[in-house]
Amino acid sequence: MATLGDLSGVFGYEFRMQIRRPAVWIVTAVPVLMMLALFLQGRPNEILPPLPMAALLISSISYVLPIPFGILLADRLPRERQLRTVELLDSLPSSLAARLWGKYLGTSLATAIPLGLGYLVLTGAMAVTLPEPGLLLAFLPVFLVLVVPGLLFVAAFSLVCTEVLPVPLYAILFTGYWIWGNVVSPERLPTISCTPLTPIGRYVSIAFFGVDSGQACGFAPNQLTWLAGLGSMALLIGGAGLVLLAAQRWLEWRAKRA
Amino acid sequence: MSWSLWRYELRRLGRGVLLGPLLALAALGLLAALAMRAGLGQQIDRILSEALDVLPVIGGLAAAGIVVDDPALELQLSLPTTFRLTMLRRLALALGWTSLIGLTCAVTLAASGRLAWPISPLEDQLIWLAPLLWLAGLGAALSLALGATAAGSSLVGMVWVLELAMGAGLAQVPALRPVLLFLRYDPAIATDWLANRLTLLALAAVGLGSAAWLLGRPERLLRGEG
Repeated sequence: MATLGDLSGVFGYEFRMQIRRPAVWIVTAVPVLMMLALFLQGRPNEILPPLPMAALLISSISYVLPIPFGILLADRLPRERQLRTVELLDSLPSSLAARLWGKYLGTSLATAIPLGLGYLVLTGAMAVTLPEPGLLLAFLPVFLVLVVPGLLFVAAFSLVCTEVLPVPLYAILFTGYWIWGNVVSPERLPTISCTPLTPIGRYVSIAFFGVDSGQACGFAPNQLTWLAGLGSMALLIGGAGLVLLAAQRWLEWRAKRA
Repeated sequence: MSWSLWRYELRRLGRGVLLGPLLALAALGLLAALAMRAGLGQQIDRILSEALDVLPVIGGLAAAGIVVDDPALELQLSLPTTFRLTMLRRLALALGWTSLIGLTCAVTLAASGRLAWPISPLEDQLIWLAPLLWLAGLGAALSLALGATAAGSSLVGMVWVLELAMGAGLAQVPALRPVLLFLRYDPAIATDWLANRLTLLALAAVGLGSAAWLLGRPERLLRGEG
């Protein structure tokens, strides 16, 4: 059984290890600076009240910024195999469950911190350009509702999938999935974009704030209620939980057979 | 030079790198079939032509992974063949394979009249070749500089998605036009497109050159992950 002490120990260690990686900071900073240059080019065409404006802005940033997040988490499990520390960790009294969940929560939070700062910098830049200080107040609730469920969702897949896939192949599949599941509009290709499973929170953004960052999803005004938005968030967070639970069972089964 | 060495390096690349481009083509084929069933028949040529936009990112991500992915780096450094030469061989094989597929796709699409943005048989090849080399150079150089596959892969994936998602907006900024991956040929301003392709090739040379320089300093990779 996973004890809370084991979990918090793994969490703290994984968190410190990930947040001290220069790659995590540099790779997140590059797209933020590129988008900052774009944002400073001029004012947006549409000016909305702070909450929908923040939702529109944050879901536009989400087309790109979570990609480094997903890939930076993908090398966490292969790293243990590469450094040959798996057996050593297996010999410790802490359970497999504590290691998996602690790693998931610790590395996700550590990678999400530079990412969240990136979102904040870009929102701040827009708050200054408009000028609309209300955007900064709207930032936290919109970030928590639109971005966090999607991050939890992709983090689970990034961590687990690389147990069976090589990191470069996973990076290819993840990038392909990201463009197909978020950017492509349903009129161009059959896609999961515009469905409750859209990880960048387009669906939630339409449901809660009435704005869509991409090409029209074709929903009538007020067609999606806040319940639909909550459903999408629950689906993303629940999906992450299910993926991790399945991975935990599989790892435990494999450990028993070994 | 012995062929067995090249065959060994090809096997060493692994299925992931070799299957990646084929998987992408299969996915596009599947999407085209789904689009046909969904009554989006007019989009088929476009979806199939996207192969030329997709192959570069696959080559770039593969390059970002190959250059730092050797589990026996210390052993490599003790061999008479330099680490740089071995890695450049693997890069050449991976990019050669992706290029072969790109060439086949471009020629087949153009010959069947399905290429969405046809130019001329020779210039059609620049549609995929210039972005492929640029993303490969960027990915390899960054992975080596930071000592982590994830670093190069993230940036390559991000640049590609950024341009695909916001390409129309980026094309409005004149300063960015020479470096855009998906700038389309416009007969009215043909030099614009050619200048863009040449700039991408020049950037590719800088990226791949930096990667080759960093490969000559593998002790950087021994320091651990970045």
